[in-house]
Amino acid sequence: MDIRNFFGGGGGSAKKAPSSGKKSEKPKPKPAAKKKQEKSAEKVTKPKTEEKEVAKKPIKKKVIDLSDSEDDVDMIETSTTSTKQKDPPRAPTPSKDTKAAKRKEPEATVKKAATPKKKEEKPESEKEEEKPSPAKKRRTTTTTPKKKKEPAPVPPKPTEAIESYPDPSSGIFDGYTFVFTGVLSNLTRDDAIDYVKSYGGRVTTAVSGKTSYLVIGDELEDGRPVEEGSKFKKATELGKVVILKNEGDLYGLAKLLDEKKKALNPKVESSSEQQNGNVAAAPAVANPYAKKTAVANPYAKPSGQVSNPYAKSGAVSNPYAKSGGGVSNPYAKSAAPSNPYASKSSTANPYAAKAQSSQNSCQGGGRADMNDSSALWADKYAPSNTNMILGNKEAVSKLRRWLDTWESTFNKPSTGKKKKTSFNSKNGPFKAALLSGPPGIGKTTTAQLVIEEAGRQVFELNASDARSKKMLENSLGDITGSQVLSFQTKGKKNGSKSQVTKRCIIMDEVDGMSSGDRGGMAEVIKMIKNSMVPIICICNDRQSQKIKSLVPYCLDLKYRRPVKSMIARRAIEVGKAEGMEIEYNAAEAVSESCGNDIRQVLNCLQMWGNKRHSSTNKRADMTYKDFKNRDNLINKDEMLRVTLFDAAKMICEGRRGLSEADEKAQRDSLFKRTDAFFNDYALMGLLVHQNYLKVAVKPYMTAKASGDPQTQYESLVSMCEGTEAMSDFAVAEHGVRSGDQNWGLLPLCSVLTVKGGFHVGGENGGFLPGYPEFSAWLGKNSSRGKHDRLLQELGHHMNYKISADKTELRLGYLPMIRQRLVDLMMPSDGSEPNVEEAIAFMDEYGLDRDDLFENIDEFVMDDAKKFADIDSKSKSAFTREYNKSVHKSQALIEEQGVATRKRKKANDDDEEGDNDADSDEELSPEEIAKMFGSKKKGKKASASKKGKKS
Amino acid sequence: MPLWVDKHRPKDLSQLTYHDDTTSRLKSLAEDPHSLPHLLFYGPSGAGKKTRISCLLKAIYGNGAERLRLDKRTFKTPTNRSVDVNMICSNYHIELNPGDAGIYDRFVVQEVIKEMAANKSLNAGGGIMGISASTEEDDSKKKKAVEYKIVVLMEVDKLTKQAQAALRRTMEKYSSTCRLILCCNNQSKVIDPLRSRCLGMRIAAPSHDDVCVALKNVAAKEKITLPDKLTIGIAEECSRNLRRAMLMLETSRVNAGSTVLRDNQGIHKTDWEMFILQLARDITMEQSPQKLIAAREKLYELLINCIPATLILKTLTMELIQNLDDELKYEVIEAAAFYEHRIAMGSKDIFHLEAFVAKFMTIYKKYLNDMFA
Repeated sequence: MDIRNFFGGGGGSAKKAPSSGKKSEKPKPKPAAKKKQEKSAEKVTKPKTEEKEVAKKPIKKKVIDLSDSEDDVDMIETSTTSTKQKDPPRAPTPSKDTKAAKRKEPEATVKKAATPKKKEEKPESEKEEEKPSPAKKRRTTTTTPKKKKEPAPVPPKPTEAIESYPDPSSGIFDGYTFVFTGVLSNLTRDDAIDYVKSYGGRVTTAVSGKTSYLVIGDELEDGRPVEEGSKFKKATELGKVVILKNEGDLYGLAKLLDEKKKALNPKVESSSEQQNGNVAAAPAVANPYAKKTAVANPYAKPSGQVSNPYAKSGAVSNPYAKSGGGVSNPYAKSAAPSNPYASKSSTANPYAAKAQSSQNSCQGGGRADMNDSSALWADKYAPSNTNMILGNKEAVSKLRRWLDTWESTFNKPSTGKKKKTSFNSKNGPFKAALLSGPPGIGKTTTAQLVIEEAGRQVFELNASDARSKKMLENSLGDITGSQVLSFQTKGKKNGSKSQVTKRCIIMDEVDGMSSGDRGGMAEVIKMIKNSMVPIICICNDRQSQKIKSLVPYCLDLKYRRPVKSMIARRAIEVGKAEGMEIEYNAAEAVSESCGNDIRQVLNCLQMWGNKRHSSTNKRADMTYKDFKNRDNLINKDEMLRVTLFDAAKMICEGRRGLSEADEKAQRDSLFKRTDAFFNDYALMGLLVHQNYLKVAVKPYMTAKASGDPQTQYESLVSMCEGTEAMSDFAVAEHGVRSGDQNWGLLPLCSVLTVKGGFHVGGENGGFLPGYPEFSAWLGKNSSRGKHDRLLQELGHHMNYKISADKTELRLGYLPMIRQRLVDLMMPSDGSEPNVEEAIAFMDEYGLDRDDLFENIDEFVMDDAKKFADIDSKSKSAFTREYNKSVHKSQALIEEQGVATRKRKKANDDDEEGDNDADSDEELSPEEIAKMFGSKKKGKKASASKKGKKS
Repeated sequence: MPLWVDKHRPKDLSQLTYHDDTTSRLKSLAEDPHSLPHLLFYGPSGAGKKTRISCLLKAIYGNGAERLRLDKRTFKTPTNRSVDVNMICSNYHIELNPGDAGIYDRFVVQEVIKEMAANKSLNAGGGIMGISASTEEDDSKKKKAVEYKIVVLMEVDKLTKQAQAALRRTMEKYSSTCRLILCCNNQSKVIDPLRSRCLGMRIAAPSHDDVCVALKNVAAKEKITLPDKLTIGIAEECSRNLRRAMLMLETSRVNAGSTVLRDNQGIHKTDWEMFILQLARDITMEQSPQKLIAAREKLYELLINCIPATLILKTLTMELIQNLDDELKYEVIEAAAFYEHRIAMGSKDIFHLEAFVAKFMTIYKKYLNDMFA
């Protein structure tokens, strides 16, 4: 339906003709501009002027601010300024803002779409438009209003507060922005937000110029009156924000808007019919239809399903007259789907630039044929050129630039001095690039597309290839070390000028180079150093150890997740292409639940869309409501996105918050907690063990404060039950880990851990103060292992003299020996240490210096004196004495023999007494070399021996 | 100047002071060395197994068996992994602890025995070449030279099942050149086939009287005055472990500062025992989650110091029940036994120790509540 008809204005087509002619190069902005002109023309009721303006405007006002971020105020301003004939000031802007204009083109149409709805408020809004425009004149040209709030700078006020209004038509809140503050009387914040979002509203957390409504509760969370809150104050400052008191007003507003919308409906019907007719009639004229359809969309669908999302996303305009490729089918079938889907508004610029692409159907075909109905949408609609990539523009352009200048940087043989590849400088020329970031955001795609666009030949290695040192050498050695000469001149007549085929290597998923690819990372680094072709490495975890060693050699490009609005828009386009209507809020909610992972979002949508209505064989649509109500079917497993510590906290706190909950919520909480265990099943039990007792403190303290011994006892009993559960857990885990490796017990482990957490918290759950600690068991266990080794070594030294195993050594001998040595070396009466006797004692038992000063000290249980703390005078006396004499202890003879030999240079064989000469000959060449190479005489040699022994 | 426990260790069968029946049996074995079977010495720690083994060796081989040297040998497993093992050798025997090799003990055992078996000792065949390496010390004992060597394996109850299985065949095959003496704490961990191939020698823990006698002997040799009361006190305190008793005696001597020991001087406990006592005191003083957390730290400290968990549990239990009624004693001991079993099954010790402490806290709290109610 033609909006001009809708507005009752005439001469629309007449207007169109000249403009369309002019706008041949720039179809989009002009229609938008034109539309605006039309609207303002109506208002001003100066057809002629309008015509002129319209004719003029398209050229000059190319910039119709249609960006999402802008208020429709700007839009309105544009129109008003146009009425004021302020062309000259705007003249310069068009060139500057052409791009913006093109980009915002779809949004203009979207805005227009919203306009009819607010028809009845036109007089009002016109007035409003006049007002702010002078102030915002400048912004018109440069900024683009994101949302089509153009109709209502003043949102309608509800006239009554009602109890509830559960089921208004969808899309009534389109174009309005809501902010919540305070605690609502009968509705939780989340439910209120869901309510608003279900009907197309937008919810933000801060009051700004774009806010339409501020919903206030009775008081703020911390108890202060809501008037003190910053949001309230700001809203009153801004003045034009409508204050809604509690959900009563909200429902009242919903009712009001719903009634208004229903009043509009008949008109919508007719307009949609007309629109359909138009569509059939003139598919060829891309631009006009683009506008029209965009406008008509909200009304085309009587149910009002479609309107808002498109309005919001601003990606609407796309003319689908040229339904190329796979698009045609969906659209041919269903007249209703408005199919503004060409533009991915987030990447509006690129699309704007490619006029033809925007006229095509949804961009895609990156990895799968568009007509392939069984392909994954993530493949079908994968970007096929770098402009289609969502987000990370800077990274992409950096990569591109790097790639383009690679040869000139590195392979210039002609330059006199070689350009130094500074591997360790931040800005130095890099032979390799590293793309890092979370999965599903476009790293691999980028790399491939950039290389293709740069006209290079790609060679890819990823985690599915064996990438050990050997394999890399074999496969890539020659590639990196050489350049391909191509003798195909491709049409060049004169001589065969050899051309160098530029190549590039992609090392995908480098952080997946596991132990199987032994030496792989080192080989990659070596390769980078010597390479003659650029290498692009892709990884997920920038902070991992392996990648850290790679970073200095690479241009570091960090990829970030695209914002959910970007993904939402793209998702809506894809949905359109596949014949599936998706509400904008729903798309945003999906992308949020998938953690802004585009691939996942598209998969989710595909899954949703596979539900088809039995009668119409049309794909199921996705509304915000439906999405929220789904049974947790499609989202990235929530548990996976919870960190290890959060999961531990969840388990430790048990049934927190469940006191009022119904059975279903209780069961859900239990399942959630048992799932939380599997966040990291190896560590979770240990983490819970470390922290669960802290939860028990609070109930006990409460019981203690009450003074009743019985309650104290009961809190202890629940703590005890918790420890019992953890003890059971240890047994189950042992069954899993060792012996039979019975992994079937793992769910049992999970439940027992949850049981432990439950008991300490009690029926109402507990509270874990602070952040959960990491498990100390691991560290302690390795400490114990270390002490065990030391004990073993001590045992070796002493073994031929004593008869004791390791345990007895520790339990009986060690305290005794320690005591004896302490008495000798650090007499309590402060006298001189009896060094000779101490040394004799040590020799008797085969202890050496290390044993004394380090190892025995490790086994100190209390705050006793340590040998290491001995004062230096005694220590030096001891050392002198020790080195003087020869130590005949059997155990040390090898070590000592080396040391003494080095010191005394022969003449020691006799002194080694009745010990076998074998021990000396047993010294291998390496040991001798080590010994001579060591700085510290006895220590190093004995240390090396020690290393061998233990 | 070695500790008394080593200084006064009997070196000869005749110097053993208790278990006379075992001693006489060993003597008879030593008299006829050719028909010496494989032996399995078992019994609690500190009873005197190793002492008796070295006495037996001396009885069989003479003084040469006392000349010990320390050898470090590297064994190579089929998977090309090198394992280092320390062995104590004399010319006639080698003694080693295969538990040092961890999971590769099987290879160590096989290698050692095969090696020993492969080299016939000089004494084999007797006659002309009856020259033992230390002829000058082989004074009066002109018995026919023994043709085999002895391999002493310590801590066989810690051997893996595979190692024990490897042993049984080797034992039989090479018994002409190599006899085995196995030594362990707990016979139940030794597999049946091994047990059936050996003559079991049970060395029981000495009774309190035996301990007293031994202590008195040492006191006499060291020329110190040891009152009876103290002797009995030490004997009771040492939990029938003669080694500990000797160490305690020496500690008392040091604490007394002179050669005269007194009745009333306290018996000094080892550092870890003191630590556990402190822990027990803490637990009885206050029962709360905070205290449990503190107790956990102490338990970790003990575990890090390589004190076996079962011992911690036992010592702690004994200390805790001292102030309780009988029926509560029963409850606490039952809990202790339950958790000791769990520890013995091999899982992470700290969980069970902690659970036991928590259980004790609840029992004790109830007891207090009832008492003051």
